[in-house]
Amino acid sequence: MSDNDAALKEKTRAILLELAEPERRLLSAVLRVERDHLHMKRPHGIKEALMKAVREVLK
Amino acid sequence: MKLQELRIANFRQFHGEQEIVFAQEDQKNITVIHGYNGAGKTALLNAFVWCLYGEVTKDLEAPDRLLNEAASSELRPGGETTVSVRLRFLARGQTYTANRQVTYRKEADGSVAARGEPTLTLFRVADSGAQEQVNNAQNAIDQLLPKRLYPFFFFNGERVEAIASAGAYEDVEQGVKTLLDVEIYERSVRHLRDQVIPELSRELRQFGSQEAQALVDEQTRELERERGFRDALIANRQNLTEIAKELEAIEQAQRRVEAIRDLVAKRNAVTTQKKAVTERLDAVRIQRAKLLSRSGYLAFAGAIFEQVDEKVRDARQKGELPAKVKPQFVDDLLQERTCICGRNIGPAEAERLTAWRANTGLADLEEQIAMTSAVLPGLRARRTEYYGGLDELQDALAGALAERRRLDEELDELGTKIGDGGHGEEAANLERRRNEERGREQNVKIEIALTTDKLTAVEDRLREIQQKLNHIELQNEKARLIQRQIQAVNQIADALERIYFLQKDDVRRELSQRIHEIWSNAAIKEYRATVTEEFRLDLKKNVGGIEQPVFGASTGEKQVLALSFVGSLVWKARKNEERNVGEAAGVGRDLVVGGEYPLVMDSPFGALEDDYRRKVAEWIPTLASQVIVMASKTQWRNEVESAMRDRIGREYILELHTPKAQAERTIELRGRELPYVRETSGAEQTLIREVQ
Repeated sequence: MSDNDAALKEKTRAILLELAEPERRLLSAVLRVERDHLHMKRPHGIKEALMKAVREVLK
Repeated sequence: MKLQELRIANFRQFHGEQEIVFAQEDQKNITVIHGYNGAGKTALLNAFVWCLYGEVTKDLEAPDRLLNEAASSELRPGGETTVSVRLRFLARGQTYTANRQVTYRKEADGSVAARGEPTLTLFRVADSGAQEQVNNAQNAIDQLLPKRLYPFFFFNGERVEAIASAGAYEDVEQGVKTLLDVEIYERSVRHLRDQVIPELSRELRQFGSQEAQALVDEQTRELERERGFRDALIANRQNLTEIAKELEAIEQAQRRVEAIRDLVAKRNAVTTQKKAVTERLDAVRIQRAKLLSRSGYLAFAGAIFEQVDEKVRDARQKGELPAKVKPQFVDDLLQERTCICGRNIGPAEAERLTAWRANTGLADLEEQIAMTSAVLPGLRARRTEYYGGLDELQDALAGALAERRRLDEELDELGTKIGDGGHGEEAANLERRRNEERGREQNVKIEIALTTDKLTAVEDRLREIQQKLNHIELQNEKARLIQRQIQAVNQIADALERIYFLQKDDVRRELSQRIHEIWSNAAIKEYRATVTEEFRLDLKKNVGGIEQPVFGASTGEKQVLALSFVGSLVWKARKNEERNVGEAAGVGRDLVVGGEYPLVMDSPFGALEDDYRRKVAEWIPTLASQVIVMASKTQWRNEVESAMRDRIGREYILELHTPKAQAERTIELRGRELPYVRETSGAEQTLIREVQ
């Protein structure tokens, strides 16, 4: 791994570690929802899917 | 994605069902397909595109006539036949088979037409080994290889330079973001801020206090305004792209008018100079701002320096400086009650010493003055230096401004000459259109600047509202939960935005670096190839120590640049896959997803000089994990063959069968003469032959 790669990983990790554990779980859930809708120009139902993720993680 | 096998039936030149199996080994990753002009290389490229996306590229003539002519002529009235393309490929660890087909029918009057729209099916090999059909096949394919990306992977090498044209900027920017997985952050942030937070705010309004309701109402209004400004910006940026395309077309047309060609070239040169002067002007302004913020206070320090000098002079004249006795010395005498000569200090002496002690405070003054005096010469020198530097920068600024004015006048003059009716009506019309477009461009840029200001103000206000909503006291338990959810979503959106900028910067830097390496290795000229902040390809050259954009790069140069760009993209996507940032950061594999992508290129060496052909042939197979090259005999010859030969895993000939007499041709491959074009008594068609 190059120095740049290591630096990028470290910076990304630092940003994520600033979040509390539930927020990190929600971030993962958000990315999963987004990835499922990524191929759609107008992602139908994305708001509902994201709201569901928020409610499930932060009860 | 790795392509495994293509099966085509009655598609364009290809009669009956035929297949190609693609090379997939790491060191033997090239499949080369040789074909005479018209044998079906472009048709084959389009077979991939049609199968996956149901459309064909602009290069394919008569796009609505997919049925092979021989198959069509064999049909009897009322008879039907099928055109189909089946592609087997490996993606994300699973094997898929996509099949698109359409049925044709011959009517009683002899006409042949498609019966309905083509249909697509997609099968996946399940863990059990059984084939299972994938629902919503088109969506699934779009997830594996989004439609907007195919021009990067399935392209005609003779037109690949389009990627570097002004008209393609937006597609390229979007394509790069999708391919290199930057888009997901942009979209996540937008969806969280524009959809999830307003929805949660609406819920908060329902359960929260009056204060919360008022804030949410204001937030709703500001979000509406924000959306309006964003839409306006998008529209204006699209306008700018359209204007840039139009200007490029007009300027190309101007270069074709003999009477004004030299004037147009001169104007390009002057425009380049003006751009360099403007960049210099900006650099000088930045230097001046830095100097002012660092040393600007010294401009007001002259009077203070004088006052300090005066105070020192006064103190010396009054005999206060240097101070005769230090206060600590007197304090010690009083404490010890013994003089330095050994005598005891009695009450009378102590009283005198105490009175004396009052005057010793002047030693503090002396110390302060000593320190200030030590600093003063340095400050005076810096002040002189500051004025000198400022004068120099002001001179440079005035010089650059004067030069820019002169260049503006020269440009005006050249514009007048180019548009002069004496050069003919066409020249005058083109210049008039150019002026109109330039005027529109200016107006749109002003509009963008104004809208950006308004957007910044709304965003600031929205942040303030959000801060208040985060911290207001809420009694209702449900409202407190919603408040907590809003805070969390905001934090996540902020984190994703920061990761977005990190990733975007990483992608741009690495792409730039890679393209620069490839380009410098391939190019004859001392141009520097980079990728801009907006992911645009940029070619610059050094003129007198100043980097200037290259105008009028040749088609071959643009093609090499575009190919190096595509190659670098594929390389970076592979690297992202291997690097897997997310796992290390503890949020799983969803953070950054890369991937392997094939390059399917029709005639990639057509317009290139020998040097370029060899270089492209050398580096393309090292960047992409799989390369499929379609080339004519001329395109494949010498340097290309010798550069690629060792990496060829599979090789095919599109054997053209034509009824034309004496059309027979052969192609020499691996030291053997093999049939290339053959005479036939039947209809024209192409047969795919594997070279063993």
